[in-house]
Amino acid sequence: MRARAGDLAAAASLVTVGVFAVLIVAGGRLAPADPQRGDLAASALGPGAGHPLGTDELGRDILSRLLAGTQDAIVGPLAVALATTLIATALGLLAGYRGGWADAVVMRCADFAHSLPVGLLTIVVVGVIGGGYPMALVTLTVLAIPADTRVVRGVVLAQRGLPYLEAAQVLGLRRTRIAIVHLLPNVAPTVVANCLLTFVYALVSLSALSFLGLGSPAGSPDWGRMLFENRTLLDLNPWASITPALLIVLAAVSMTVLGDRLLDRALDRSRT
Amino acid sequence: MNQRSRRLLLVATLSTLLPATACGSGPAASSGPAAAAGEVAKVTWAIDSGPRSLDPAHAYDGKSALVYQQIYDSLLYLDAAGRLVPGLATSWSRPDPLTYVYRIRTDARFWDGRPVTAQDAAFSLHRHTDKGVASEFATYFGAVRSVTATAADTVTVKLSRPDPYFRYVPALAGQVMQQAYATAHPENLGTPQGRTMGSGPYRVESFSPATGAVLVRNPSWWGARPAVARLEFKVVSDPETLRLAVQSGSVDGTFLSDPSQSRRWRDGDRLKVQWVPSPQTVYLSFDVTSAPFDDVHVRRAVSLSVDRGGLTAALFGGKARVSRSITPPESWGELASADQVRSVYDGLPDPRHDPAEAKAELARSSHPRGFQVTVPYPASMKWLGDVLQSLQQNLKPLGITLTPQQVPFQEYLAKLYGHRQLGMQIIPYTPEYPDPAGIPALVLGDEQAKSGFNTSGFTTPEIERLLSRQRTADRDERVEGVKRLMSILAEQQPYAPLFYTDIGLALNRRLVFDGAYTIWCNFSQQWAPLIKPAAR
Repeated sequence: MRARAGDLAAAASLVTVGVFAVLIVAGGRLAPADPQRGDLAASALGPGAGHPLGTDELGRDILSRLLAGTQDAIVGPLAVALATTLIATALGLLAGYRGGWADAVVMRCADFAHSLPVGLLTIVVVGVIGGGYPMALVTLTVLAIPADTRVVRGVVLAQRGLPYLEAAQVLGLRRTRIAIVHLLPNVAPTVVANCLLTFVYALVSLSALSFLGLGSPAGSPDWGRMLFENRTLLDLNPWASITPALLIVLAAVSMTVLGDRLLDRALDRSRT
Repeated sequence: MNQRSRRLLLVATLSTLLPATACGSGPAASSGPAAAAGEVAKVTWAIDSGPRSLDPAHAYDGKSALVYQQIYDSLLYLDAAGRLVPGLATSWSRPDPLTYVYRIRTDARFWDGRPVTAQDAAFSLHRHTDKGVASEFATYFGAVRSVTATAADTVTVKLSRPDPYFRYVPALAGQVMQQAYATAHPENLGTPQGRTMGSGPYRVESFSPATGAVLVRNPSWWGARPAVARLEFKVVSDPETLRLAVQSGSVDGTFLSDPSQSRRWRDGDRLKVQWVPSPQTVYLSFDVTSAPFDDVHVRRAVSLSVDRGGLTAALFGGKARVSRSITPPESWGELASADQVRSVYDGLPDPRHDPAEAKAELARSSHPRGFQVTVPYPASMKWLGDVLQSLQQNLKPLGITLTPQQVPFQEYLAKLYGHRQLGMQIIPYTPEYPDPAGIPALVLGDEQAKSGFNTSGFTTPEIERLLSRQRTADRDERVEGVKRLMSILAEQQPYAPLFYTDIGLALNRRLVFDGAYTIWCNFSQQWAPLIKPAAR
C-alpha cells in the first residue's frame, strides 16, 4: 500500500517535472502577454478577463511572468545541481577510493566548509561582493560541494570492499579506469538522487536570495523576486505572490519526491 | 563632501521612511471628528525602528526626533503653513543680519522642578557648535560665531556671515536640555542608561533603541495639559505587520511616510487614515558633465518617457502629485502669496508623457541609437525601483537600456556623495524648511557640484549669481530669482521632476489629532499633546 502511494507520488512528480521541462523551453512563447510590459492603468488587478492571475503593481500580467520565469527558476538551480554533482562526485571518488592523503585532504577541507553557515555566507557574499545572479550560482555551488562530497565518499567506501572491485584490481586495471568504469555506475543512483536534492536546495536558496533582493535583478520574472515584490499586494491581488510561492513549493516537492524514490530504488538494488 | 548636504539628505530619506508629524494651527487638513474633553490613559504608537538616542545632537533622524521632540521644548516651531511660531522662546528678533535674539519664557521648568534658564538654552544651542560633542546638527551652525545668554531671559546668537536659512534653525535644532544634567552625564547622555533632562510635555520612563520608549505626562509642563497620560512607542518594523496591528487596534496610531503604502491603508471600523500633501519631491538627476547626459536632448527624451500620471495612480493610489519643478509649491512659505506661487508653476512646462516627442528628442541628440545606463535605488524604497522599472519599459523602444539596480541604502548614499560617474540617479528629497531657494541652493552651483548635493554638476555664471543674490536680496528680488532658477531648470533639465508625494496619519477612531496635520509640523514639532479622545 505504502509502495503504491509512493509510486503514485513519484508518477505525479514526474508529470510535474515534465510540465516544468516544457515550460522551460516554451514558457515565454506560451505567455499570453509581454511579461515585462506593464499597463499602469491596470495596476494590481485581481484575476479577470485578460489576466487570469491578475496583475502586479506596474500592471504586468502575473501568469505571463510566471511562465516566462520558469526558465530562470529551473535552469539556475539545475546548473548548481549539475556543477555540484560533477565536482563532488570527482572529489568523493578520489577521497573514498584513493584513500590516504587524498582522503585526508579532501575530507578536512569538506569538514571545514561544512561548518560554515551556508545561508548566511551566501547572503554575505552576494550582498557584499555583488555579482548578482551569476555570483549567487557560483556561491551556492561552492557551498554545496562539501556535503555532496561526503555523501559520494560514503557510498564509495561502502563499495570499496566488494568483490567486483577486488576482481578489477586483480586484473591489473588502472585505478582511474576502475573508479570511472566500474565504481561510478554503482554509485550513480545515489549520485543522481542526491543531485535532485541539491537542485531543491539551490531552488529554495536562490528563491530566498531573490526574496531578499539579492541575486536576480529588479523587475525580472524570477519567482522569488515576484514573491518579494508582490508581497505587499496581498490584499489587492493575493495571487501575485501566492502563485510564485506555490510554484517554488511544487518544483521543490516534485524533485524531492523523485530524489527520494531514486534513492529508495538504489538502496533496494544494493540490498539485493 | 558637504556635511550639510549629507545631513539634509539623511534627514530627507529618514523622514521618508518614517516621517512626519503634525501640530499647531494653520491652513491644513483637519483630522476628522472633533476632540472631546477628558483623558486617555494610554496610547501605543508604532514606529518602524527605535530612536537612536534621546540626545538630539546624536540622533538627527526622523525616527528619533519623533520620540525626543515630545520630551524637550524647542525654542521655536513651524506651524502647519511653515511659519515660525513661539516655543520656549516667546519672541525673537534680528536686529542686524548677523544677530538673532531670543526671549525665553520664564515659567518653564525641567522635570526635576528647576527652572529653564537662558543659560540652558544657550548651552543647548552651543553644543551643536562644539566639536567635542560632534553634533549631527553641526552643519546648521556653520555660520554661528557665538551663542550667549545675554540676560536672564535672553539668548543672543551672532553669525560670522549672513545666513538667510538660520532663522529656521531654532525650529529644527532648538531643543533645550538642562545644562547641569548634560554636563553631569558626558558619556551617556541620551542613552537608555543616562537618559536626559528636558522640560517638554512628557518625561521618559524607559527607552531602548531596539524596542522603543515609554513616555509619561509631565505634570509641570507650562503648556496645556496633554490628554494622553502615557505614550508608548513600539517598534514594528514590517510594514504589513504594522498595518495589521493598527487595523486590529493593538496599536493606536502611526505616521505614514511611504507613499506606496497609500493603496493598502484604508479607513476601517477602528481606523481612520488621513493623507495630506507634503513637499517631498522625487526627481531624476542627470550628470551633465559626461555622456550621454551632457546632451540636453537626451535628458529631455528621458524626461518625456516618464509616465508620471500613470505612476501616480498605480504606485501611490493618487496620493501624490505630478511635479513641474523639483521645488515644491509648499516650500514657498511666506516668501510669496498663494496666487504668485500658482502663477509661477502655471508658467512652467507640463511634464507630459510623450513617447513620440521623446523619440524625436533622442534623434536630435548625439546618441540617436540609444545607450545603456544603470540606475541605483535603495533597497528600502522599493517604489523607486518600480518607477525605474516602468521607465525601463518606456525607454526600450528608444534603444535606451535602463537597468534598475537595487543597492543597500548606505551604498546608494555613498554613490550620490561620491560624485563619480553619477550618470542618472533617482532621488527623493524632503525640504526641511519652507524656503523655495533651499532646494536650488542645494542642487545647483559650483560649490555643491564639488562637494555637495549637486548630483547633476549643473551650473552657469547666471545660476551662481542668482544663488548668491538669494542670501541678501529683498523679497521681490528673491521671488524673481527663484522663478528664473526654476525656468532655467525646466529648460535645461539637469533634473527631471517626477512627483510630490503625500504623507499619512493612521489613527484609531477613539482618538483624534486635534490640530493641523502637515509636513511642516514635522519631527521638529510636539505632536503628542494634540492626540485627544474623539467625541462620541
